[in-house]
Amino acid sequence: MVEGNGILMEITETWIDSLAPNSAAIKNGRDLNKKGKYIELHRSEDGQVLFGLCAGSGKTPYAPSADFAIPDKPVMRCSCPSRQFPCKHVLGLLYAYAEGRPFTPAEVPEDLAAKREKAGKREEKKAKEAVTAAEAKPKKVNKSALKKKITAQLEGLELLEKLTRSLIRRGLGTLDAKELKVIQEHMKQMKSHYLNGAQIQLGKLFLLLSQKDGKEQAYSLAADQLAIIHAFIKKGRAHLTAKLEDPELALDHESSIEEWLGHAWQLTELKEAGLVAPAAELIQLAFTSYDDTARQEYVDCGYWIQPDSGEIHYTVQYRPYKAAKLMREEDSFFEVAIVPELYRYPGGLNRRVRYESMTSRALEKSDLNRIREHAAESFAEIVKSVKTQLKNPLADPNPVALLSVDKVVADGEGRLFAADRQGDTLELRDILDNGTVHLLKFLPEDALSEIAMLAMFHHDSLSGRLAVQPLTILTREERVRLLY
Amino acid sequence: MSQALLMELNDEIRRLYMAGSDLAAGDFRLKRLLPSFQQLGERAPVFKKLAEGVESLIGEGGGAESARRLQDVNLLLQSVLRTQGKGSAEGETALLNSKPVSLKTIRSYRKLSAVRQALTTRGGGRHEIIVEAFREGLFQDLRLLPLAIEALNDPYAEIADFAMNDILPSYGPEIVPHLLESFQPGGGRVEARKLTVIARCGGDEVLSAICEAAASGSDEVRTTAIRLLAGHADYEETLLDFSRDKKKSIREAAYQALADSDWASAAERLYEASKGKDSELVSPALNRSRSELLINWLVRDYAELLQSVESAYPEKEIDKEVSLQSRRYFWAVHGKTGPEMEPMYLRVLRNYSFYAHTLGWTFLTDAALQYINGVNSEEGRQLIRAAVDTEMEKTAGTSAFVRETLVKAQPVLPPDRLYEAYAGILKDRLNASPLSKIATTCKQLLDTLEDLVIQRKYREDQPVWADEKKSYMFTVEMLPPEEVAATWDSRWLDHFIALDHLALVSAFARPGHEGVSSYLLDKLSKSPEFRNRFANLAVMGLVRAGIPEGELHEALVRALEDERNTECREIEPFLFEQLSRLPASYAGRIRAATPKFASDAVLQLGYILKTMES
Repeated sequence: MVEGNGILMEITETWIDSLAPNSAAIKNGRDLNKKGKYIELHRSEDGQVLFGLCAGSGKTPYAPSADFAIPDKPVMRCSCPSRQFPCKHVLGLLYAYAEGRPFTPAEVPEDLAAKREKAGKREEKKAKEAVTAAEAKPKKVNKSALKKKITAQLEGLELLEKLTRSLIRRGLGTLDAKELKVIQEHMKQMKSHYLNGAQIQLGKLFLLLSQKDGKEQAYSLAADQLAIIHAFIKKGRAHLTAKLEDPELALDHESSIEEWLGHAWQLTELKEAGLVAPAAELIQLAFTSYDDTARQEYVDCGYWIQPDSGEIHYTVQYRPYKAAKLMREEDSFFEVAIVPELYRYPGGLNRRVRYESMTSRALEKSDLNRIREHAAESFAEIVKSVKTQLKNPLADPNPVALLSVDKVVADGEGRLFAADRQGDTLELRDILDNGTVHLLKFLPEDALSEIAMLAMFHHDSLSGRLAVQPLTILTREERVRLLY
Repeated sequence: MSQALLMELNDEIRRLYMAGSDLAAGDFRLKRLLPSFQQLGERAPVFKKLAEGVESLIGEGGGAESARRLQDVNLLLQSVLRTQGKGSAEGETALLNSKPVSLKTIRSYRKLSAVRQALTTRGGGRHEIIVEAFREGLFQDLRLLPLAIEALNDPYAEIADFAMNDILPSYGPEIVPHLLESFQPGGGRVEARKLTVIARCGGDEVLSAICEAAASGSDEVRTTAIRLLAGHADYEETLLDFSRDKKKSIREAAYQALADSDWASAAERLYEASKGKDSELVSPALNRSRSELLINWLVRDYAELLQSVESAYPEKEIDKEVSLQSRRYFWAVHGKTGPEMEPMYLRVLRNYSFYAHTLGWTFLTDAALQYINGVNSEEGRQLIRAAVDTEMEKTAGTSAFVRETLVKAQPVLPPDRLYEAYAGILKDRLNASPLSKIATTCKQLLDTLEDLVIQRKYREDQPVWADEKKSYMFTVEMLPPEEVAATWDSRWLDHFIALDHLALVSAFARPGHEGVSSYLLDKLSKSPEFRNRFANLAVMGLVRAGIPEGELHEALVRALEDERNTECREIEPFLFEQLSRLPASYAGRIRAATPKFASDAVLQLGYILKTMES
């Protein structure tokens, strides 16, 4: 990256890759540079801004720029009409820089200079506001509107309860297309009753019931799902009624019920609830991205460990189908993220976390050793806390934990197990669509004994068995990512 | 005990979900379970709660309430069940016996997921993604390894073959145990492919496994395995045995394996088969074999056959079987060399007319001409001359005269004789109507001439202007000017100019000829578009005509600048080379012209500018 006067820190290709919204943008950006589409490449006299001109399909070239006035929050701009951000022109400009192509010092163009000035003022104003507003000015809440909303939500729960009861009385085995349509209609109604969470849960039920094959299993899972909806209605109703009576109408920042009811936490709310930690480091242990048809969204999910406390957090980004192309698809992160402010969501064993900005440093062997020390030594203990969480139907059914694994063993039928030092075992089984268990037989011995294993738990209601899927293995030397 | 009971309750609850909760009242199966729960409930409150739930569920007067009661019991039951999950091993366990491969897991999700998707879905465009990923080294990530093995099963054969020939062998011997582990000798195509990779990576250690598959696998696996045993001396006897198998496909595979093995026993066996009922089946193997022993035997037999044909004719009609046999021999020895070949082919040429015209075995006479042409002997030359004379006489006036005959005559006749025999057609064309027969003949003649001196092809090459590894480029190659001067009459050129045939004018252009340079300069200025093939041809001609450098450069840059010269995506190699030789003083003009070009052509001009500057 760029600093003060003159460009000091280097811009690496990996870093640029990580900025790109998707892999196609990476390729397109690189191609622009390779094909010599950049007519001019400049940097400002103070070294804060990189800018240039890039030939496009039209007559006038585009003017991409990257502004490093705030080194860990660079601002990318371009005159092209693309809705992808940053666009390929900016990426290509950065690749050209990373490659070491000459950037001649030049005056920043007028319109860019004007934009920078405005942005600078905005930052100043923000900083000022932050100082003054930090303690004062609690956010005003329109209470009567909120009351109205809660009432609507309660009505929505009523509606949901009616629907599920009528389905259950009739029996899942006799449902036909007409009933499925009714479920779909209710999904829409849940949205108008501000119950986005309910909409998603009904969506899951709908998917299960409209399955064409594997009916028996689907009904069984549908019964599970109905139990979850039942719990949700009970808990939601109690919570909303209490909230209606409480004149302060505060958010519940201890359980996940607000999210179930469709609340999207804002960072300021998390801050108010004291759910923000200063200066934390995060190391990503696993990453995955999947298509959640019930949500109608792609989900990018990263599992991270906070090396000082050993907590396993997760980051999640939802990309709605409609906007997926314009949003940055997250990627595996290999370095150590240094986060000035870590926001933590209410949750159980794993909490969702967010941050507004971060810098990074390379992962070192000492980091690995530090993480390995946090691995749970006793399976019995970790299983106990996992079961405590699983007992709650509204909690995350797939908690992730770091296990200290003495060795990996196989039984007579070829099933694999992780064993701890006391000899307790846990079955290794694929839970996610992306299987990982079959990769173990390719691993060297030092990745199979005396390791730390990031594992996802799952209780299979059909067989009544608790199993874990290995996501990542930490040896003394390296991080073997079985997922992504 | 209690978990079994809970699971039983779970089953009953599921049943009610499917059948409808209205049927819960008085359900006798739940009733039957109730006492056990009540009993357990005396000690554990949670069972008591469950017992109460079940009791109210089966109670009378449920109606609308039945659904709520069922939900309540289910919710509680699910919570309890989740605390009961067992995850530990029940029987004996042993350390996992892994077979390590030294691959890392350092590639990111975005890189891997695209390949993963290509390998796990169906549809177009997958092959390119996979090949590109392989070039990028992505398959050296552990997570793609199982998918690469799986790719052997891809319904799109190109992908399966690519996995077999490129991806999997790149893992080396470490992959072998994993392939062996899943190898099913009784399987089909996939297993045959797997076996091929095993043989390729496994070295001598896997030979016994391959031999076993050759004996006991499915037909597809067996034939593959047999071919894979070729050349391994330990399996000489085995292969010879297979070549006598009852099954045709097995014998065929064994013949091929023997053809690839340089043992005397292999040659003997193939020769023996060629005499028997397998003469047809063994044909491809005979052609494939490089064994001198075998060739000599076959040529000897062929010569004998020819001799008997010659002496028997005309008393005995040549029947189909002999003709077929002749073709079989021909294919077996075709394209090979040996001491016995020359006498045999000389004999054919001595009786050229008999073989070519009486029997119509032109395959044989053509091969004889070609072979003897490559042998330096006086008798050979004379025989070829005679054969060509015969052909010219025989084909005069037909289209074969300007095609096949010309191709045969050109290397044999002196340049002036060839010119005199054919130039008349070009002369006559000038005064003939474009619809006349002479125009057609002339066109065929020009085409044949062009094929003799000009080669056009797509050649794989490493472009200097881009860091891509290799790409295919359209290339025009002409006979070197010295060779044209030595083997062609100088009078041809004027005819080509008169007929306005740009390609041949360029190929025949020579220094000192009056008019050729101005003809070509005129051509270039009339069609300066680099996207068309004409510009490149004209420039080739100008260089061969030895036009002064300054003039050439100016003409080139003027063509480059011409306003019609747009949308060229790739500059042909010869033209590019000439542009690269431009002096640096042209840099400004080149830069100004660059925006008219597209795609690779921009890179090419950029490269030229870069070299000019450095």
